Amino acid sequence: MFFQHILKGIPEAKPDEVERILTKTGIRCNWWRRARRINSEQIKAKLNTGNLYRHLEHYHEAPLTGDRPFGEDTPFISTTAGTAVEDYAAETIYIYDAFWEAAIFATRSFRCDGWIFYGYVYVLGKPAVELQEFAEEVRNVHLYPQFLRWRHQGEITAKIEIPSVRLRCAELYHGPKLAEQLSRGEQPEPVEVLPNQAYCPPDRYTNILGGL
Amino acid sequence: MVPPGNPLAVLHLDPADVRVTAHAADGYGSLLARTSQPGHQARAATMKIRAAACWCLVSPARAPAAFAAATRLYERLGHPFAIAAAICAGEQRPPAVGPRQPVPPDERAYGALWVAWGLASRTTSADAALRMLPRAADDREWFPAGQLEVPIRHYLEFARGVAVTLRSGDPRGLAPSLPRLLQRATEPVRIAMADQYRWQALATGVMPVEPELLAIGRIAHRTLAPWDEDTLTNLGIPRNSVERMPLWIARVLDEPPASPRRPGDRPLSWGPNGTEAPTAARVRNDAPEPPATSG
Repeated sequence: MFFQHILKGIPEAKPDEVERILTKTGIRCNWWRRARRINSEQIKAKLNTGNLYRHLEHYHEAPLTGDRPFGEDTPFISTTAGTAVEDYAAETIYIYDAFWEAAIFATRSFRCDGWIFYGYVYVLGKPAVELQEFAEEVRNVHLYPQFLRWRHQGEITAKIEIPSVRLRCAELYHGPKLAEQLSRGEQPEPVEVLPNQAYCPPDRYTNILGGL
Repeated sequence: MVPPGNPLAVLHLDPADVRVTAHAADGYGSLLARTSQPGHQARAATMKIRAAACWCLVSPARAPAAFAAATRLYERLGHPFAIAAAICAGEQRPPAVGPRQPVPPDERAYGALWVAWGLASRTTSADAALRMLPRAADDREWFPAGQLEVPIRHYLEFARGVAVTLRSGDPRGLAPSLPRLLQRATEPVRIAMADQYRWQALATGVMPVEPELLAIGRIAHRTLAPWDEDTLTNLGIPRNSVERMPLWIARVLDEPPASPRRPGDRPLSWGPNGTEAPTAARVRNDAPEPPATSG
């Protein structure tokens, strides 16, 4: 198992909502936010390869049996971690930048205000769609060749929730201002940074044994 | 109905979004390039390609500089993609791509493109080019190469077609190699366009103008010039299609706004809303300006 750092862009969230995510709820999937209450049995039914496919390929389309886009009922949470290390080692032509990908989604291509959350998820290095605890590395062409076109966004797909203790902070960007900063070649400066005092850094949980 | 010769219209992209992305990606690419970490150099190169691809659509005069910056970055990384970027930048000096880690399928495809570029730019003779291009059928010619994963064979046939066309003066020498190559090279673009939400947010992995596609367009443009829409139709390239987009851009890149226009020539650029813009408007569009604040 690995701790994988991720970024998650959320557009137009209000500061009190972001505060609540960081201190209480964590980032919840749209299905949970819409249904308000979900249980283990429902989660078990929702976490399958078909729904992962719908999340990635038909997010904005209504399923045959539904009347609203799948994205409103998805149990998955898209995040980004940039280009996979394996792809970089193989000298892939395009190396995608996690901050850019998160910023594009957070600010709807520099049109609005948006928050970028920094945190981590657990990944296994193999597909594990049924296991809620582990995110899916759909960016990894070796694990998910059928989702090749998601590689560029560095997509790591979390499930049900990213608990608040795994979120380090959230940064607010004003889309047009961010575009101006980037176009001048300046380091992007967030309008506001909300740290999470209850964050549990992953290095606290890694095991390294010293010699005697 | 898509106006002829308008890449933004065939790609279904909003010029304001493309412009703001071009500005931001160009600057961010420069920022990443200033850092010393190797990972940042590769990200900077990708960002410069993104910027150049967007500039092609809204301010083509700014595209060569961004392609040239990407060329230098890929050159330093030792990646043969520098060759495709150099053709897009209009460079005639071959990039110094070192043998740090050979990428055989890509090298062969880009090598064929470079030979064709030399031919089309009249710096290599047709006879010399035909000697450089392998003739014997080889199983490896079906290997997919480059970002667009087009089989090497299509690049080789296109390069031979360029030589034959230039030697004979007959544009039919590019049929069927050019339409076939364009058809294959635009497949990833059409697939990416099917996801309208991400495509129109410029958030797909496929660039709106892929360098390999534009390189083909620049070579074809120089081989065929002067050409018109009927020339492309006679070659079997569908009207008002994504396949024609690289040739339209190539023509604008090769004909700067100040150059004298011949009677009957097409306008040199296209307007922000799918209309073709007069030269004066294009010069104004090329001037630096802050990014658009809304779509």
